This record gives sequence, structure tokens and C-alpha cells, in this order.
Amino acid sequence: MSKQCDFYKKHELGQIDDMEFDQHVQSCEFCKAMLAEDARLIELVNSLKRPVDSDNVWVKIETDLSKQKSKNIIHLMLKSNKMLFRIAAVLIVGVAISFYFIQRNQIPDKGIVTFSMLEKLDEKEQDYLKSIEELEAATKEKMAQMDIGLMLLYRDKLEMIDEQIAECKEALSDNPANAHIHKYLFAALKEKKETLQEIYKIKPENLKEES
Amino acid sequence: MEPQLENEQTIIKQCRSGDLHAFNKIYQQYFDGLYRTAYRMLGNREDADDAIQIAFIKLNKAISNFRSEAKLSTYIYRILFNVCYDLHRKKTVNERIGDREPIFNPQNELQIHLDEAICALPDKMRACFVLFAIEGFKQDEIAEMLDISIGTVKAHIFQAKNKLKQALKGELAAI
Repeated sequence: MSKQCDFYKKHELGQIDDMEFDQHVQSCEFCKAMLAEDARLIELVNSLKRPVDSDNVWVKIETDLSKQKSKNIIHLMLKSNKMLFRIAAVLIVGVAISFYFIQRNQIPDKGIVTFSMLEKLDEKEQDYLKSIEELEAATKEKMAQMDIGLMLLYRDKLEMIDEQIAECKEALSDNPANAHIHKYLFAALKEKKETLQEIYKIKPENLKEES
Repeated sequence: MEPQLENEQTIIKQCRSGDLHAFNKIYQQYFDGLYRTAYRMLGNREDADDAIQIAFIKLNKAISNFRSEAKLSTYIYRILFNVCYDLHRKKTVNERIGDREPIFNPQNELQIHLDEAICALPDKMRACFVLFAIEGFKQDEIAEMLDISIGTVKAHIFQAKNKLKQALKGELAAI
């Protein structure tokens, strides 16, 4: 290589500007050689740049975000319900017996479920649970035949829904007449049923995940 | 560097209202570069997967605080580096060495040597070089991502190039 020169180093460290360096390079073999070596290195480094399969990581992110979302909704609901109950308690104590007689003949608040409605909801819930149970039995074999990747995707989704169902049930044990929690429970049951139906409908030749 | 996302501001607004489909667009746009960077910083796919997952979940939470005058790419990479440093800190030196996987799909010996040489660079120097040479970011963007001065970025890139040239001396001349 030709005689050492510190222009290249100074330019790299920002001590001289591009224009000055460009002029210098035209007459300096050392700096020309350094730039050529840089270009070869960058070219080689760029050969390491390859696309990566992104689907698996997205599934994990999506599952995590959906879990957080449902947790936040239930948490917010329970938090707001606690405050509502405190206010309701104060009101009930305030108007006591006279309010009791009026309330008996009134249509209940939008967010509260009556006893007759509660019975109907229980029946509907049982219907869902029964069909879920049947679908679970019917899809068991298909799950076992699935490619591990596909099986894990469905298993994660079903686990997430089960968690949602468990959380709703826990919330309902403290607050059985809350219409909002019932709504979320039914949404989760419906989702589980639809997911199982989706698995049930997979044709045997499609049981292996596309790579 | 990835081209800027089309309708980036609209997509960010949709993400703020909890639209996962819009968030997936951001993910698809930046995944490749982020994954390569995480892999180079952590040395194996499993940790790179974890880093990407944590970074995107943090981004989803933080997107409401994102200032529209800033660049989304800089913001995401900044989050990713913080996650990588956290994961890196939690491991002992032996765990880090033991975790190291070879480069995915090497095509020749030279690529393997280059990968090893990049891996041997100190953390910050490696980060500056990877962002500059592989991901194509400008030096001022790298400075913002890593929270260091442009002068430091320039010095790191210069030193990294020198170290890599030394490590690949004969092989580089033969290209």
C-alpha cells in the first residue's frame, strides 16, 4: 500500500468535511485504497442480510396483546363496579324501605341481570359448554395429527380463551348479576366454540402447517 | 434501512385505538431489520425472538406517547436496544458464550469469519456498525437510537471497520 495518510481517518471521525476529502482522494493512493477496502467490507457485510421468518413471533405478540387487552377490560370493569357498589350502598341506606317497594315494580338497571334472566343465561351457558365439550372430543384426534407448529398455535389460542372464561367466571362468582361480565363470558364461549369448529373443519390433507 | 411505512401517521392513530391489524403492518415493515439487529446483539435466535416480542409489546404500550415529529424507526430501534441490553445484562458471560449460534445459512467460509469478527466487537461498537453497515441508518439516527453523540458513533464505526479489516485481512483483499 502507498504512503500512510491521516486524511481518511480524519474524515471518518468527522474532523474534515466531505468536499475537502473528495478533493484529496483524487490525488491520494492511500485514501483511495482505504475507501476501496471499505466498499469491499460493506459489500461482504450486506451479503449477511437475509429475510427471516416472521410469523411465529407475531403469533406470540398477538396472543400476549389479546391477553393483556381482556385483562384490562375485566380489571377496569371490576374497578368501576366497586365504585358503583359503594355509591349504590349509600343510596340504598338513604332511601331504605320506601325505595324497596318502588324498585320491586321497576325495570332493572341496564347493567344488572334479573333472576329470571340469570336462569336463562345459565341455560344458554350450559348449551355452549355442552357443544364445546362435544367439539373438544371430536377435535382431539385432529389436534394429535397436526403439525407441531399448527397445534401449538391452536393450543395457545384455546388456552388464552380458557383463561378469559376462567377470569369471567371468577368475576361472576363475586358479582353474578353483572350483565357486562356475562357478555364477555359469552363472547369467550362463542370464540372457543368457533375455534373448535374451525379445527373440526380442517381437511386431513391440510393438517400439516405450510412451511 | 426500511423505507418509511406508507400512511405512517394514520397507522399509528389506528394502533392507538387498539387496532392489531394496523400494528401488524408496523411489525411486518420493521421485523427483518429488527430481528437481524437483535440476533447480532444477542447471538442466538431464541433470545432474538424474545427481544422482538418484548420490544413490540413495549411499543404497543408506548405508542400513545410517540411524538409524531420523531421517526418511528428510530423509536422502535431505541426500544429494541433497551430490551437487548436488559436481556444481555441478565446473562452471565459463560451463558452468553454458550448461547452463541452460528450465522443462519452461511454461504461460505468468509461469511462465517465475518460473522465471528462482528460478534467479537464490543457491544456499543457492534451496535453502531450493524445499524450503519447492515441496516443502513444515518449516523445521527444511530446516535439518537443509542443515546450517544454523533462523534462517538463515528469513532465506533471507524474502529469497527478497522477491527473487521484486520480480522479478514487476506480474505478481503481477495474479493
